[in-house]
Amino acid sequence: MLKKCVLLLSMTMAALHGFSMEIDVIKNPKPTMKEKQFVLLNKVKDIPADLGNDQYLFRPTSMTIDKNNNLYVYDNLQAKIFKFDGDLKLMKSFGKVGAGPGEFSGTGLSYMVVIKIGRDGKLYANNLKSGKMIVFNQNGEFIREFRYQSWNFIIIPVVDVQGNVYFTSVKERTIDVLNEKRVKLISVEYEKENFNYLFYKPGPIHLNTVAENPSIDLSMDLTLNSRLLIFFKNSSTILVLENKKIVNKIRIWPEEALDSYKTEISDLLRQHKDMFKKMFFKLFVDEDNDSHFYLQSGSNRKRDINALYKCNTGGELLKTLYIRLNEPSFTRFEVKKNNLFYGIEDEKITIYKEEKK
Amino acid sequence: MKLSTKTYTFTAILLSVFVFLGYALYKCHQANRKLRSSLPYLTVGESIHYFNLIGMDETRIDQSNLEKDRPVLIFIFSRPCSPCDKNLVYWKKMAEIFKEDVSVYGIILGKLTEAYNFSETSRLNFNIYVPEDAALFIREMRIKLNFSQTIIYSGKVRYVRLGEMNGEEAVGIIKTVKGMI
Repeated sequence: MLKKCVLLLSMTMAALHGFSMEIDVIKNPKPTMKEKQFVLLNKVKDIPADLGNDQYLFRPTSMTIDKNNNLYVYDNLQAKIFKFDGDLKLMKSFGKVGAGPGEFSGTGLSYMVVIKIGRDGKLYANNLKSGKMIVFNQNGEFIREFRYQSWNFIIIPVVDVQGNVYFTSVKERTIDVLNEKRVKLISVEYEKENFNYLFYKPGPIHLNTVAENPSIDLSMDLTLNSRLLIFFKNSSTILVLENKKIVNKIRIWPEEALDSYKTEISDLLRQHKDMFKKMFFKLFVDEDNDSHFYLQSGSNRKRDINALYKCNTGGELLKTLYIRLNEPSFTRFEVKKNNLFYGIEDEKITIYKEEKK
Repeated sequence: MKLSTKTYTFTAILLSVFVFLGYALYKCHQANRKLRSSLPYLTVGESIHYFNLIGMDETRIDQSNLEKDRPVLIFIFSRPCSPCDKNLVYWKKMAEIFKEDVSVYGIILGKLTEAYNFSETSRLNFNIYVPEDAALFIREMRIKLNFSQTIIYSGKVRYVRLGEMNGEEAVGIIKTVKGMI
């Protein structure tokens, strides 16, 4: 009951706070980088539904990879995590539905769980429905779990080498770093950047969502050398932080992507004033290089591709990787490790590799 | 040999009991049949008597396709149908797992164009069909509309799952079919 009241109060506060938010539209953004090299990604293999030993993979929704190239996949229809070795052979599965420690609250799309290996080597499973973070070791043994505050928000777990967890605070509009005892260690204010939009102001539905949760369009990741990347999806901007200090602010506005986005969003808004789309919807760091990261654009209609922009924390666009659009299928890339790109497509884990010239 | 009155009486009673038992059994059987046919689905052990279907490429399927030496998986769905949509992911995985050893029939209770569009947008990996005579098919299979059905058939109905299934049940179905191959 108390928790519900707190949640309601925080939502109201967030909404009130949100309504006063200053929306800024960057009407004519100038490209900050230019696409030089387009590299095709070829499908190498995929993980079949039948994993052997009466184990089946139905709907993978999240995955992560550890230092030893073991892959962990969360099946949303079974509330199970499957662990595969580097050759994609099933090693074990763990996790189940329940209300007890280390158990997931349900199956199906309303019970989303996002998993990620923290920089401390442990496996973190964010049970979004119940606001619970479950921590396993790499053998799938339960270590601990904790519930986070209703005003803290995170989708993909971000955890540093000391085991500190990074959250956005809906209430304070900060990024809070909490230690194992949930004590706030640092708090970084997120800039006005969060409410900047490219070309057009989105419709009321989107703005109401942002008012309820100002950090919904913000995501984070930690590079191998512990630099924090804060990605503001609406303005396609990345802040690079090192020891709490902003060391770089990168506007990811590649010429062609910007042009394609402008056309697409104006078409969408012409269809309906509430349609909204981001230029890049996903950020993930390169697990092979300590300064590289990837941004996935939904689509580039001009070339008919699903593109992945490879950049470095210095603000350079290194190359653009792509696969052909094959609608209604869509590949969502999740991890890059050992020169392999792991994506989810048609409820399957699919692995891609750069085409060699 | 002359039988006593006592023996006659005993035989008459015994016969009456047998006749009564026979009649009761017959009545039970009739009631059971009536009850079964009033159920909105086929039950385990029943046979399918009408299986005339048309595929998207106009191929015709009939009863003989059920009598082959391999198990048959039948997925029945209609549009719109939320449990059917939720089952799709399991059906696709079953079709993937059993593509070599099992005949898979997706049956949509609708028009052929609807089946075609649905197959395209849902990227189905199994063939879908529409009944030649939808009313007859619905009557014979005792289907209630908006009802998703997953049926395992091998000579007769081996398993029926109505409505939305969960991961555990899907694993159970896969194991059952594997046991039949």
